[in-house]
Amino acid sequence: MRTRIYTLSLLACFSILTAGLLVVQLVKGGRYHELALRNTIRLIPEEPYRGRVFDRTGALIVDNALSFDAVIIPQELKDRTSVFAELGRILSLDAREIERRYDRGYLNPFTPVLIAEGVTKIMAIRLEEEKLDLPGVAVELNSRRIYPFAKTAAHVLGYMGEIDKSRITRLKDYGYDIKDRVGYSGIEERLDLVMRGEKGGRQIEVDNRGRQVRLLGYKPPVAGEDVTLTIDLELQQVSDRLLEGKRGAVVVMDVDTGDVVVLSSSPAFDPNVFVTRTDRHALNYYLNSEDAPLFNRAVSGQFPPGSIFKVVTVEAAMRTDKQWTPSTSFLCHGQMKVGNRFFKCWDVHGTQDFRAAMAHSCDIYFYRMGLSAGPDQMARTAQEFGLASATGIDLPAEASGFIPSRMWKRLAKREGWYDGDTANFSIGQGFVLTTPLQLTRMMASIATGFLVQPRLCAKAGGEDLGEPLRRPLKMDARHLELLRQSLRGPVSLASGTAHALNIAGLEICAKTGTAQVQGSESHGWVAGFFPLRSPRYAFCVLLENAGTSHYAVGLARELLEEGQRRGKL
Amino acid sequence: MSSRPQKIIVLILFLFLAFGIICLYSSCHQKGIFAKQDIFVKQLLWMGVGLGVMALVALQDYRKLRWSSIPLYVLSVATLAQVLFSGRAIMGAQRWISLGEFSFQPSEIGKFALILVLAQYFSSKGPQDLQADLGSAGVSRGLLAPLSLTLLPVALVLLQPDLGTAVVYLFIFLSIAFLAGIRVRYLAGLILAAGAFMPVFWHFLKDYQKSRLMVFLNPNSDPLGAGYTIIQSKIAIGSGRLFGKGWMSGTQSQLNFLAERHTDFIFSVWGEEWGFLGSLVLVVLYALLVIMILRVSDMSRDLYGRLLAAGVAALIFFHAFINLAMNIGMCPVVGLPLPFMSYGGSSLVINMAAIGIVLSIARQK
Repeated sequence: MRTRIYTLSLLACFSILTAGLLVVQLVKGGRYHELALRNTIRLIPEEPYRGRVFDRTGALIVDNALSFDAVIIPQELKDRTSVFAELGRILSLDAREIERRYDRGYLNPFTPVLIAEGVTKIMAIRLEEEKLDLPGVAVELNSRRIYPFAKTAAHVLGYMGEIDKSRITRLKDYGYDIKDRVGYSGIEERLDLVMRGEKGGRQIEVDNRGRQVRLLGYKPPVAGEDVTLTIDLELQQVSDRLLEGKRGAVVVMDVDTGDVVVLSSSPAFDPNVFVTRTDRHALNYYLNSEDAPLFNRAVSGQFPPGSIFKVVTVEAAMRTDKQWTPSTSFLCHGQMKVGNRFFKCWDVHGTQDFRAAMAHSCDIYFYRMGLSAGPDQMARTAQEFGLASATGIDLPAEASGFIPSRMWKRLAKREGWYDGDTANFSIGQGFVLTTPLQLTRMMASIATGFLVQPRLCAKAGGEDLGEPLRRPLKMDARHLELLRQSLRGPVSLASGTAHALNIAGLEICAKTGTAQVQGSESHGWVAGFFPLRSPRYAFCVLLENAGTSHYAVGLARELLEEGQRRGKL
Repeated sequence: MSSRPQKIIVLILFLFLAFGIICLYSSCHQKGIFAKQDIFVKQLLWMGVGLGVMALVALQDYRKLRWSSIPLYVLSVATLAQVLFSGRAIMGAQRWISLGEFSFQPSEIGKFALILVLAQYFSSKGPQDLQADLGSAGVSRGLLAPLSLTLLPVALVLLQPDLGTAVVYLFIFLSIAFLAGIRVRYLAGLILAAGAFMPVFWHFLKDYQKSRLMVFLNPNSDPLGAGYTIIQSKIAIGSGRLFGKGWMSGTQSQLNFLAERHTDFIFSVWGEEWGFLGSLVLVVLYALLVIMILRVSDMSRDLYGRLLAAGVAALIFFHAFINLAMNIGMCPVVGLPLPFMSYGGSSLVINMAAIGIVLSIARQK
């Protein structure tokens, strides 16, 4: 009985459908047929104004400029050769080049094909004047992205490009369409939805000569939202300049709020190049060079942390070995035997207590600490400090780093975990990988006792993005205090590895690291926070293949000194 | 004829596949050039996969599917949630899970899983639960529990946001519950309650969520309020008139007026090229297919098979009806594909697997 009712109601729906088809195809079919023949409905899109980007002080970092673009509307184009030749004369372009651009850009009869972007005002006026001789040619007024500071903060900002296939599939439901310009990497990608605004346009009916007969609908474009970043433009410029010609990354972050004040990655790129796309040489370098200028080393680069990892080792050892006190000393002969292999220290330090070992970054001391803590506790502690998980910064493609474990080694390498692995682990070598941003955050967490989520976007569309996200570290407050005090040693002691950072008035705490790289020079690191009493900023500097941490410390000194001189820190 | 509905079902299915190929071939051409050959070849491959899956399912005893309904349901809910979270991370709706070269839409598997789990649930309950009075324990067993089973995936796809699929889930629930023998007044009450809840639901949405809902209610209204796609699709279908313009001769679709003409708007190509007669054939075939599936349902020897087949009928009916209706502007654009005709692997394979179940039920009656 119910099946019968059900079947009948479905059939009723199909009948309604048939009636609908009858109306559309037979009753109104003639009119639609005519509309189709005349091709009379045309869509003229209007691009919205993209939101601008400001730094924390309100300085404009990304702007839009109006540009005159020469386009051809295919269905109005009658005599190709003569129009291409005439257009070429005005734009001083080869007619064949215009033909090539036209054929490549053709989408359908009514979508304008872009021939030349950003033509001069004089050219635009001449095009308008000679409109009658150039059927199909039009000048569009579009806004174009400009990055006045070129390479500054390039990795924070990202660049613009034409939407690709995977993005269309993903974003179609949000009104994204083929030929749209969208953000790639950086804030441009992450906040694209906020900044892009809403496309508008006119739907018009035209007569057979292409003239507008009537306006069917109009939707004004809606401008995108402006965005304010946590970046300090001045300091960012200093940092970018210091990194120039090197490969590496710099991060400076507010320890309490997670506001990222500086985020540099080098080599950098000039986002303007992607707007104009005329500098083939630069484009080719950006896209294909082994230096990977588009790659954000600060957020997506994963490197062994080297000795900076020793703070994790200490905390792990303090949790395991209750007998240990800061005055516990070990003797450093320059090497020690673990299993059947000798593990070297980078120097011969003699008797070292905790403070001295930290200041001198004595490997022997931390091999012993690591062996007493064991790999499981070290891995757990590392995770507590936020390693091996993405920080959640508002940038795309963040890497999560890696912390090894016995289980992982068994599964991935089909090999047991050896004490030698523990020794390597305890000085941040071997399998451990971290990003510069993660190390910055770890230093901030030691300074405040909270693991904070770093952020770059402070305000979008005038709306504050609210309280910082942070959670307390599950660690003994006395341990953290001890770590803070011990991190002062490398800077304050004349023999300390980061003594160059002993800048009066900043009271910097820091740890250096040298990460060995197979078959190449070691990476140099320094990371820390300041001031020791009531900390405000955490920082991290990485220089790829710099050999030692010496240059990283030097760079950090120049940056922080300059920041202090300008009253920024 | 009536004793052998499965033969008719198979026949109609192959007709649809043939129509689909013909129509897709035409829609992949642009100005006479075979512009989207990759899409065409991919769909042929998917058809092969679909036929394999269908044969595999048809050869099984459908009662064996009982054990797989819960795991499949859990899997689909988990992947829906996963898609949602990974989508959050990269901004924008991520409806796909990719496994290397292969990517699929969890929401499609969800349709299949929901049919299985609801059919199993209702077939295990007796009339004392299904017809229970309000306030008695039976109501929660007969109505509230299966409703919750449905609302969970509905909520997950709504958050994507994918209204079309959410409505499909609800329609599957209503169909199976109705045919299982739930009191009609409960179902009517549910529909009324949902209707009454709408404005409240709308009220609690934030502005940007509302605009998102609007975007996906009518995604192509975006550049223009007038609804460009709908107008173009209506012009294409309408201009086909009685006999159509002939295969490969549809000017509207050939000239690329419709961006999505090989997926949700494939019918605009069909209607333009084959006219009212062609469209009528398509509608009649869909109606016949649904009737045959319901006949299999009627002839099934157990309640489980009966509800299973009914769920499949609901699935195919609803997609066909909504898709055709939105192509001719009778309902908002919600992004549901036309069964067996639209380009898209996940939906094709799932639909063919569903037909496989029906064949299995028919075989064992």
